[in-house]
Amino acid sequence: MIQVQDLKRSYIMGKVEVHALKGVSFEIEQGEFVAIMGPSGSGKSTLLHQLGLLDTPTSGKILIDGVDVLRLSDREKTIYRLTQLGYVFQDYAILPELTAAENVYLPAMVQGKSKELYLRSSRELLETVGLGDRLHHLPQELSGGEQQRVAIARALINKPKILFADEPCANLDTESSRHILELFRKLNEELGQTILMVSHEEWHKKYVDRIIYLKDGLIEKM
Amino acid sequence: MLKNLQVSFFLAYKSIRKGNIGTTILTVVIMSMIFVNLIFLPSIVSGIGEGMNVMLIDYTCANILIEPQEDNLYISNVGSIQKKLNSLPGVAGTSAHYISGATFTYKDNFVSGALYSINPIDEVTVTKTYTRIIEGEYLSKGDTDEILLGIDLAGEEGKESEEQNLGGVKVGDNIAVTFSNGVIREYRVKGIFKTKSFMADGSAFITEKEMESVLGLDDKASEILVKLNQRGTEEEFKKKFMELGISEDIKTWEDKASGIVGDIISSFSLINVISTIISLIMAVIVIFIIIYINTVNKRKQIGILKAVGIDKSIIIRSYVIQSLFYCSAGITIGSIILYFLISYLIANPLEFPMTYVRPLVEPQLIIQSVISLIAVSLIAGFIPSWKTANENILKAIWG
Repeated sequence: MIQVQDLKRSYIMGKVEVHALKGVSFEIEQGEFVAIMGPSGSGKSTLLHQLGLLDTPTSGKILIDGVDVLRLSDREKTIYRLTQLGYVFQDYAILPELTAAENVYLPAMVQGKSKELYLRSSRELLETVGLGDRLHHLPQELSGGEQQRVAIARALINKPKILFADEPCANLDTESSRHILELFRKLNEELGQTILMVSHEEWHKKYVDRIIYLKDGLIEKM
Repeated sequence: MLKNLQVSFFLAYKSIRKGNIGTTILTVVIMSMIFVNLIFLPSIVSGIGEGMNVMLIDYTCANILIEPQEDNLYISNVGSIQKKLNSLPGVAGTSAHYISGATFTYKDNFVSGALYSINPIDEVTVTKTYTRIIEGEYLSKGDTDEILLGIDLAGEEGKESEEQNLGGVKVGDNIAVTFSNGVIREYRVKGIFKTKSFMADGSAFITEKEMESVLGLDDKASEILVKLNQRGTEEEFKKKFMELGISEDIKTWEDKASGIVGDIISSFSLINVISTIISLIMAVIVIFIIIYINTVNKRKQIGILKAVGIDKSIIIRSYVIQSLFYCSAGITIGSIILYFLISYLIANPLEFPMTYVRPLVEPQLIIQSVISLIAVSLIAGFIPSWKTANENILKAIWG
């Protein structure tokens, strides 16, 4: 489903060139729940940004269901992100002016789904993530764990092929983290959702099918 | 396209509704003040021009002024001409004047100026000077030894003036008038008028009968004033007069206004243009700063919107809609303020040295101001949001 070939990403920081990814290649099958792990600065988040089309690699290829996504135009990438990918950030990244339901249904509204459909879908998804009674609450009225669950529901509203999660539990306590990981596990098992999650917590391993270890911008082991 | 517009409206609505109410109110108030400024000063300038035009018509030259052809001092067969003109439907009245240069002397003061003769019965159908008598009475047809003086010629006792005057002549005082042909006569001041028209208030009037006896003329005039029932029909009547066989020099009040009054209006128009440009620049800066601060504060949110797959055109449009909201609300509140301000000033006109001024708001000015403000709002809303929406997603999210 996902084929990554010799992916490299370098940055210029001041006068120094930093090689965040030095040539990463791997494949992920549909329906897998994969964790990308490794120490700080190993390139985990950078890799996820490239796969989520939030950044452009220096070189290499990313094929999703045979589509060379790096060859898409900016506008095509935007549409691809909207319709095929879901992204969960570590700091929730939900819009403070919108209620939980509005945050969730916004991508569906942009996709042109009917109001009836996106209202129903957002309600169902928020119920799935355990926030059925928080539909009309603003983010400031929700806990960190609840906000992250809103972000997950938003990422799922357009039924993405792949769900990317960049350290989704980094800002959460253990109990909330466990709820999030169990939710991912459930989505993966019950809906066959492909999930690629960045984590640095050893205890998260038990929730995933497979782990890709990164170190210094290279795959250490798979 | 429609669904994208719907999302832009949704985001803009949420941003305004959940935004800082104080900032929103302040922005709308500033926009309304800019709109008031765009309309108010030009309306005052138009009001000055209109006031001066009305004064020119009411006290100096009526709607149409007929003067002798070049090389002639007087118009002949005046009675016959007036009869023809008065017979035309739409002509409210005509008044023939003799104009003579004269020196007015009172005690040690003497002033040279223009002396007009009038037929008081005809004159009241053409000018409104008779309504501006501040002391004494208007002339009667049979008056031969009485004179009517403008306030600038009579002078006011104890009041200094830049113009020469007779130092405070009162009704009942006698003044000596030396005509251009050397005849000297003494007249009792019957009345003093104050119109605020600098052209009228520096002149004096005697009756036609008296002037003809001094000049030894009959059935002639230096000018004939024609009052029309409806302003704006002057050109049409000018043609009709020519068709009647009147071969004298026929001028409309607008022809006369293009001189001194035209220069004054041009100067005010320049001030007006400068003020309008400053107001528009202010509008651009205010809206630009507000939208810029708004977009900078929401950089992360713009990044998030892009990350979830929302096209940047939707995001930019939502900010443009916000700026249009500030603009529309400002125009609405500004219109309400203007309504009360202008209504007040129409009821209580401003007293300018040359005229009473009532603001004159022309529809074209309102349309022009609304379009200008909307245009600058669009630009000022577009640029900062376009700049932020074009940033790299990760840079926008993490700064």
